[in-house]
Amino acid sequence: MSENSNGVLVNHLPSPTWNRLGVNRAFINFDTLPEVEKTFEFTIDNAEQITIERKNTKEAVAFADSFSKGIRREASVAGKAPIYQKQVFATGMGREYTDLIEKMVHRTDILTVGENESLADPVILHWSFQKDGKAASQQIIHAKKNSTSTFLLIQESDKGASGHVAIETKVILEEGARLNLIKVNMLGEGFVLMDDTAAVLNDRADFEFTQMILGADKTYTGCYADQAGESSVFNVNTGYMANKEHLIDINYVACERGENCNSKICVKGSLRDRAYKTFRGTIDFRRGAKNSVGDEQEDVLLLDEGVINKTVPVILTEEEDVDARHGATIGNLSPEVLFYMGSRGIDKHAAEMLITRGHLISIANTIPDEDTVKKINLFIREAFDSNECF
Amino acid sequence: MENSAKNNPVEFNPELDVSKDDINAYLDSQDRTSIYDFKDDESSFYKLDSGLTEEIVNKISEEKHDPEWMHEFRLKSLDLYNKIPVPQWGSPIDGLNMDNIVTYVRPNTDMKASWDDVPEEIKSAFDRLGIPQAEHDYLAGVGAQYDSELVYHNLQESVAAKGVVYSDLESAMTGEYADMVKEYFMKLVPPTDHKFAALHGAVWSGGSFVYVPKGVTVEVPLQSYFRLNAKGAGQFEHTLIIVDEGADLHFIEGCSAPKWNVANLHAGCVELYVKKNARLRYSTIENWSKNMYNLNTKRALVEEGARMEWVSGSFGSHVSYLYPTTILKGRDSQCDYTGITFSGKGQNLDTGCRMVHLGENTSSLVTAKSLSKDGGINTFRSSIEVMPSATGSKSSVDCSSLMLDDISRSDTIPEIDVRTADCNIGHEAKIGRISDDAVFYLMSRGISEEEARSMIVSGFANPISKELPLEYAAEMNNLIKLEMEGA
Repeated sequence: MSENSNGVLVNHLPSPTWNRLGVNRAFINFDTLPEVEKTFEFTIDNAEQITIERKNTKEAVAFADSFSKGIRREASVAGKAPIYQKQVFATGMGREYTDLIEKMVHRTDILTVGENESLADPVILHWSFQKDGKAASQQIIHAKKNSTSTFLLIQESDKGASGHVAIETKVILEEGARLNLIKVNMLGEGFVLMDDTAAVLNDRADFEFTQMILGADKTYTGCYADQAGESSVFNVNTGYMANKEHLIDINYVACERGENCNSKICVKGSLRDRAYKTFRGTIDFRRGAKNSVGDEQEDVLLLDEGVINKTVPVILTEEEDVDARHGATIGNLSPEVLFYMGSRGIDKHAAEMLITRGHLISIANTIPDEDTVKKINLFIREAFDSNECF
Repeated sequence: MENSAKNNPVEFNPELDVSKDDINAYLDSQDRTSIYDFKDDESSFYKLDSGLTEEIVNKISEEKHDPEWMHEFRLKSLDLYNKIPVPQWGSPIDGLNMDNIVTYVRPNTDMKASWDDVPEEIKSAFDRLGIPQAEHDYLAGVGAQYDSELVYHNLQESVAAKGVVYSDLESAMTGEYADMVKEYFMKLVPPTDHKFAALHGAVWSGGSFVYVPKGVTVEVPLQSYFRLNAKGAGQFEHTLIIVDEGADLHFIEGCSAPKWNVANLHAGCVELYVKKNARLRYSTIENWSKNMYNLNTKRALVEEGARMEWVSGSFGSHVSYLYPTTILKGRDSQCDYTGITFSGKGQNLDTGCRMVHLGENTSSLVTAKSLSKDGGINTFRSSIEVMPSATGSKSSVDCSSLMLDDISRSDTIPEIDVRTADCNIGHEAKIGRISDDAVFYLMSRGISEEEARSMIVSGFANPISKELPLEYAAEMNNLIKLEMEGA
């Protein structure tokens, strides 16, 4: 893929490494996006619990930026090459993608959860492509002081459908706000999904981010959490599976600025056939993040010889008083596990399927919407059933 | 200038009855750089003009009586240097201007095989560094380079009798081993690799050639020591080691320089070939001065059943790019990397390693430690690459960093690239500070806070120092103690 073609550079590693590794950024080539005509809009369930305002995108962006303007935006870290593309509201996929989506959409939805309100049901934004189609959407979730809410964003389509989806979700968490944001990708095998998330966390804010990457031919996704306030929490739970020649490219960044912050990034997944996955996970402790904690872990199950897995777990620290750690385990099932399964009549292929499903379902079961969990179960089962391997 | 700390180990031995006040008095009497920070008069030395031009490269080639192929090789490398961009991913090197760097400085002597024949002012420098004494006490052979040329090279007769070759690279290039040198020279690190490999190919000078024949074990280590004395100069030594099938060698590399107020450059290159069932340990204690840009390249090719061991201590330099690379080509080949980096005031050290698994059932183990203090910046950078052919391979990376104050910085940027399902890869890293509880515990037993912190740091570094020969471990511990002064 040539970076000189028509497209955008996304998912920049906050502190770049050797170019030949090919992980410093990803390139989305527009020339290879499926050509489709039909445009889809999302539907929304349980909307009565929140306020929805559809604004001109420029105004909406200015509104979001007003919550992020006080945050210092470094052009470089430790004197190294320019790494953070300066953005007022930093995003996981980066400035080029944000500029793109702001050109694509003219209206942005601001979804507001009122102060001290606690939503009884998840608000569900649903992109349902029965057949080929495309969509572009930007929304701002504004969780006011001490509110509690769950937002579930689902993209799904027929199995053989193709198209492209571009989404950007900006999140503003005021003091003491709790938000559970869940994104589920169950798109058909001809789709390209671009799904970006950005959040600003004020004092005592709690942002739980869950992402299930199950479908689509190519998925580019990022999430940047700016923990500007003190004692904020950012937890990520992501599950993915990819087979055939599918591509997944992920970039998560937790930027801890306030004292007593906590972030945890947990990513689990499995790769089959000739799937290609890149995971970049960065915990970035800025000076002042005293007594903060950061932890990231990726567990990857490799099920076929043709897979490519790239993992880049980065920790950047300019604050002494922190506890930072990361870990990764990558490999196939151990002989001990296979022997144990075999002794109970479960052959190698069935064992691999069980373990993969176990990983993914453990995350899916945290989603507070029964229908969605059922759909995820079905999607995983069908994905395995359709593979000769199983 | 007094003798180096290495020659006064009694001053620092905690098991001896030396009072803490004595140790503090010693520490007060000198700062850390003073151990290596002595300058010698070089007015009689031959120097080329600063900068990097075709004319300068031609002159170096002429000075070194290069064979024709080497002359052409240098010019091609220069061309590559001019084409390859400066890397954009690491510590800033904008303070390095090649127009100001003198690429060749020849001392006023040729290479000697006896210290008595080395001119007094040069011998005196190596005496201060403890090299002749070390050779006498525990080394099988020594090569000593001063600026751009080796001034001393010697190998014990008993080791030479086994067929071991240890010589300067220039002699090897035109002597009995000329074909072997031509076959291996910059094949593992081609000038196309990166900008500073190309620079090295154009202006390399000095360094060592080692050949250990099949089945030969060299019982005691060989050492090359590189001293860069000249202000604003570069050192570009090339080390080429071939350990033949079933052979065994421990090679030690040391380096230092006085501190100048202008940039100096070290762009050396180390190429190591570890043949079937052989073992090579390559130990380095690097203590360049804090005006040095240390842009060094080290690479090993490991054949079937062979074992490569890197032991690396990085204490000096203003900026370092140092990532020993190991290509595990043969099945069942192994590599251990054990490294420590200590960044103090004004230092930005970017170190780590790269493991490339090509053969079946290959394994790598990485243990990396780093410490940052007084505004020092540490970056641990690594990649573990497991290719489709490397089925059954294993790799484990363990990286720990200690931040010793709130003005320093520590980053870890590892990458793992796996292209086969049949492997087992693990990675762990942690960054933190010295535990207050541990300091409190030690203080409750009558140990001062400073000493408690120093003890904890020594313990942190212990997995590295225990891999070094005793004398070098003592030197490393002394360096850590000096770095910890006032922490």
